[in-house]
Amino acid sequence: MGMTINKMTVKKALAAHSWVGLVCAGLLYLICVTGTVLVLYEEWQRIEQPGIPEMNSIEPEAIQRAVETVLASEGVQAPTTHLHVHLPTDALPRTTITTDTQAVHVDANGAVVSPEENAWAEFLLALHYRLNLPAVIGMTIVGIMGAMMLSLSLSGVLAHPRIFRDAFTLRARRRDQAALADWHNRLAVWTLPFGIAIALTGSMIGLYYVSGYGMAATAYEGDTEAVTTAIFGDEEKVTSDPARLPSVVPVLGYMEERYPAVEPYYVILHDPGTTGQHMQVIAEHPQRLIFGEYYNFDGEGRFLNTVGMADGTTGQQLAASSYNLHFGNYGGLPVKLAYIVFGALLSVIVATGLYIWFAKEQRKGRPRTMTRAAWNGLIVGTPAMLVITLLLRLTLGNGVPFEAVFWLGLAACMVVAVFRSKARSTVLQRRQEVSLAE
Amino acid sequence: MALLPQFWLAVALGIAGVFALRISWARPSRSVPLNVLGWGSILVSSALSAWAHGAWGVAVQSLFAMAAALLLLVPSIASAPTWKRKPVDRGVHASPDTKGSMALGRRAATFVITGPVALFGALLLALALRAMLAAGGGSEADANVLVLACVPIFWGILATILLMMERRRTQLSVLATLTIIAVPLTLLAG
Repeated sequence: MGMTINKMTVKKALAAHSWVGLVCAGLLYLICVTGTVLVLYEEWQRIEQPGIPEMNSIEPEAIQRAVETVLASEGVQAPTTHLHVHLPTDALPRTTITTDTQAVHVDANGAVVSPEENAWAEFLLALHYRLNLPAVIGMTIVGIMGAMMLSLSLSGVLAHPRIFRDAFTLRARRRDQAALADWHNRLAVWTLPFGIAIALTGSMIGLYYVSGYGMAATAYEGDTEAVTTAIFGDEEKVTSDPARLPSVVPVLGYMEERYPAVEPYYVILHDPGTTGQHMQVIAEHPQRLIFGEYYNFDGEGRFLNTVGMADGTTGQQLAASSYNLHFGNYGGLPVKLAYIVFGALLSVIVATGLYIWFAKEQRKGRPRTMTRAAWNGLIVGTPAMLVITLLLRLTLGNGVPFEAVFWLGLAACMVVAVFRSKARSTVLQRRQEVSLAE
Repeated sequence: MALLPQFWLAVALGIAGVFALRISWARPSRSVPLNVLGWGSILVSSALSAWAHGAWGVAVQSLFAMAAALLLLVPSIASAPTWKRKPVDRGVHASPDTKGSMALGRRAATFVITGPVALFGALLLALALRAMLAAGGGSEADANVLVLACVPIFWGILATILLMMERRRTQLSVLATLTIIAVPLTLLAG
């Protein structure tokens, strides 16, 4: 490795690294921690509702009975436009039916058991995905953080010319800043491929509104839907004339006969009960990064086509792979556990990054006591508030306003940390005054 | 579906590559053969896992290699001598951006230039690439995904480059050049 980076470039890269880190650290930490916890999204749902019937598979006839029962319970005034049947999977071995207005679990015979109650898992998803903000704003902010994580990776490598050479040196037991810097740098270098993959896929998803609107404005006369249609396929136009309900039985029979190697995990009924109704099956392809392939069927259950997520263009396969690569659900529990470890390490990297900056500022005679205290509050408060909201879910139920509890609690953690730090420095100052007076 | 033997060979090679680098970098002087062996093994491992199980194979194999590298840090923690001396009060080498106190206006301008303006520049560049790919007969899906992937990459790189520039004029000229190149390309190819 004869490549060397000159001293000036290193200094400039370090300045750029500090700049981006300072601006983004808070949100990046929050996103890293929530992303780490969210890896177990399906498992959290099982913990939230432990008594729900679980099964390895369900007969198509039982699904059909459940679909008819759920649709019969829907209001006649506003029939659902979509009905999703979640089929049992290894991570979530439950059958759940979701319409525009309700979500219910069903048992292996197709009988409705209880409403779906996974408000905490949904809160966590919304927190990581869009910071509990409206999608356009929240997802864009999260996407921005992803892009800035890429920038931090680049400036981090440029700012540390010995980053690979020292990759196995960890002076963990020193009592000075070197230990902190070593932890930050070593963890960063060895999680670099993971960090880049997570940042890129996250920002691809999060910056969709920016990229999508850009494409819509320049190539589709403002039609944003056309941007995704090119990748994920089109949805047929709706006709609202009533029609007999479709049957999922021939659809799932066809899948089993013609595509035995794939694992269907969603059946979607579009505009059920109308002449425009049609069905889609999303099936997982084992040992592929794609989230699945869409198999399209008409209202009579006749196979039409696939969209091309599995064997379409490179772009389609890449887009379909970004979700699983980001969330770590492409290899069962072992991959999930690896994602949890690496995600936790990313959180540590972000946290230590700012502590390194605080230490430098202190050496320059600017201790930044209050900011450091607020940062301590955020570092401890984020996981603490996630635990507290989860405990509230398990003790008080599904109706807890998790968003309000989390954000107010996090703010309180930071405020308390600042006040405690202020009180401590006042005590220290008084002690110094007393000792000086003596 | 069972994993192919060549995938496990790829995993073993990836871990062996990390080991080779560990040995190489622990030496007082650089060892070119060991470095080549280390990086070469990692490269072959990636190719082999891609051959065995495609992108999925590469993703899973890389998790093994990263985990191995992190595990190799453990002995380093255990063998690190306990620091008995008083922590050294190292001087800070002030970087160009941290010298003195940067005025609020200057900071805000840096934020705007490296934030929204650079994002817009990255978007323009990605749209220009999209238009060229589409004009060259590329599929619509590929062209659209190209934009989705390129915007964050271009922005991340551009923001870093702009932040490493000391003079405002240089930053603005880079952005202007980018716009001058990207806009006509988008219009012509589109």
